[in-house]
Amino acid sequence: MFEVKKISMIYDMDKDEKMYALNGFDLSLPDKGIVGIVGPSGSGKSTLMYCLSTLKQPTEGEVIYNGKNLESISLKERERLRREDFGFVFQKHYLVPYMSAMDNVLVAANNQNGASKKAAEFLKSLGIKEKEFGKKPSKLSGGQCQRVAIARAMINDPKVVFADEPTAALDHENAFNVMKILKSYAKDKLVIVVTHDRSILTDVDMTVEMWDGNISSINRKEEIK
Amino acid sequence: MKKGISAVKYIRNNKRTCFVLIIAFALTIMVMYVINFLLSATKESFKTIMLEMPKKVLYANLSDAAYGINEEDFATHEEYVEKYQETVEETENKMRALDGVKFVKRAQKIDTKYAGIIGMVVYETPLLEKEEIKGYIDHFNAKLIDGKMPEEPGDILVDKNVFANRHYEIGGYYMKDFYGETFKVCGVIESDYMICVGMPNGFTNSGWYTVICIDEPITQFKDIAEKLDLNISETEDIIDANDYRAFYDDDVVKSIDSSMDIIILVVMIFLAVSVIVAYVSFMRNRVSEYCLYSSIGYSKKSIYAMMMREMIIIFAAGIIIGAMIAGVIVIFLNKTAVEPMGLIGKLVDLNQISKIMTAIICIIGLLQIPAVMTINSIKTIDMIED
Ligand SMILES: Nc1ncnc2c1ncn2[C@@H]1O[C@H](COP(=O)(O)OP(=O)(O)OP(=O)(O)O)[C@@H](O)[C@H]1O
Ligand SMILES: [Mg+2]
Repeated sequence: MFEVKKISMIYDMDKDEKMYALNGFDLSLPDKGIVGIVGPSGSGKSTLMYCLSTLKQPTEGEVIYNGKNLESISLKERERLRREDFGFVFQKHYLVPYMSAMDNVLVAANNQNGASKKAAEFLKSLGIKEKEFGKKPSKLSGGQCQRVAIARAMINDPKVVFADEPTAALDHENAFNVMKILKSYAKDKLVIVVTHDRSILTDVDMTVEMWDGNISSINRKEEIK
Repeated sequence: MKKGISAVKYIRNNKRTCFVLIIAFALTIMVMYVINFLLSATKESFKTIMLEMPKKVLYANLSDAAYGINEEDFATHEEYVEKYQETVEETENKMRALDGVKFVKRAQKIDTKYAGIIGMVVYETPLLEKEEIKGYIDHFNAKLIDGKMPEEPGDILVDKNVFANRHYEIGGYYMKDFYGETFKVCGVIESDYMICVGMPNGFTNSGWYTVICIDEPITQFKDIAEKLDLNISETEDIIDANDYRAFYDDDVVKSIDSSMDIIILVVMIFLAVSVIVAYVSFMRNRVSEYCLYSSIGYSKKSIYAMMMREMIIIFAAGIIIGAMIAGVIVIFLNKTAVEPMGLIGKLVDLNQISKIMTAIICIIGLLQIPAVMTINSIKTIDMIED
């Protein structure tokens, strides 16, 4: 699904010192399955995710998605990809404060037909009770908000779900549950989970370890086994 | 499937904020329309007297110079007066022959008072003979709607608006503060010109004038003077459309229209500033929402379109509610205050509506500045999280 070639991302270009958030590596990601990206804080995990999802453009190198070089496509096409092909769970949940849990899921829906039924199913499977559908984010716990954000990411059946620390606000049981849902979604789609919590990545299809802007190791399921 | 972002979601979820915005907006529109209605009731009524009535009647009290007569050319004063009266009569006969002149009569006139909500006009009411009055009111298409036609000296037919305005009664004294117990209201007439007419009762010191009823092609005294070669200078005592037009422009338009424009301007600036302030904070509160939309793939254009749809919904609701409240209040005020005062209320004032619409369009235009600034400040979440 993704072919990353010699990707580098440099911040603070003006200063004398260059900061390599990504330091020129190659990476290939499958069409489906769950991919964990782990590494310490500041190692470049989020930056990589933003580059893959068209939110950021790498300083050098290329990202090829389904044969398309993301650098050469128009802004409109990038927006279309984010709207239709990708789903996002951001590090902070970014729910719209005045909307109910339900509306926060629906706001991302490209097709409103049957969307509320689908949203209700997602929310329930994520452990949000029906009586909480009408609550605003301020009345929900951090973990509940995060799960609403996950439902929002999946509402359009995206080909790729990008999840940045999706379990950070969750207790162990809920974290496990969320991973189970993401895994079942990953049966025929690609789910990229960024985390520094290795324990949730047991049984993932692929683990990418990052260290200081580089990939220090890649483990595939077959190899682990 | 491509779709925009729903604009009603915000409105549905923030009913209080939107309601306050809509109601504030509606009330401002309503206030502007109602104030204008009350002030223009004065203007509309004065317009009838000052602009409509002079199209049908004018008054002239010309000096001997206008007739080409000089007292010094005569041996005695009596000879001079005789010649003067003879000339006046001759001239009046010539006037009667003119196309557009319907009636000419040397007569006294008295003053008729009529008060607006602000200001007052005092205008002419001729005193004619009993037989002439029917013809006179027919000239104005006036109908007797109450009381009877003048029969006794001092009987006056009063226009229905003036009648209400001055709280006259049939059989009561007319303009008592001016003329004491000389004139009595005998009947009420209705016309598009707010005319009154009556019969003399001895001599009043309001002077003698040539009362001339006119129609197209004659519109002012100058038209007559040109045809009869009268020598009219600036100082001649003539009360006609020309004279009233100047009066109307100087007094009514300047005082009412300019105060109306100032009120509209002040209210509009107030509304514009508060709407813009409200909208700026409204948009600022929602930047992170817009950032989310942009991150999950909505273009800035579609976010802007959503903002505009929300704005239009709020404005449209405000306009509709404002118009409905204004309509109800205006109809109510017209029935309870304007009509009982004998004033003419203009319920549908297109000029005022277009002024209000222009002001609203200006405000929507001004709101593009904070809207565009907000759109340009939208970042995707990757930029916020760092
Ligand atoms: N906009 C930016 N400007 C400058 N430096 C940045 C910017 N964004 C990220 N960085 C730097 O790039 C490096 C990688 O950041 P990134 O956010 O990708 O880390 P991360 O692995 O996601 O960390 P965390 O686990 O804390 O989220 C960090 O050193 C960070 O300080
Ligand atoms: Mg991060």
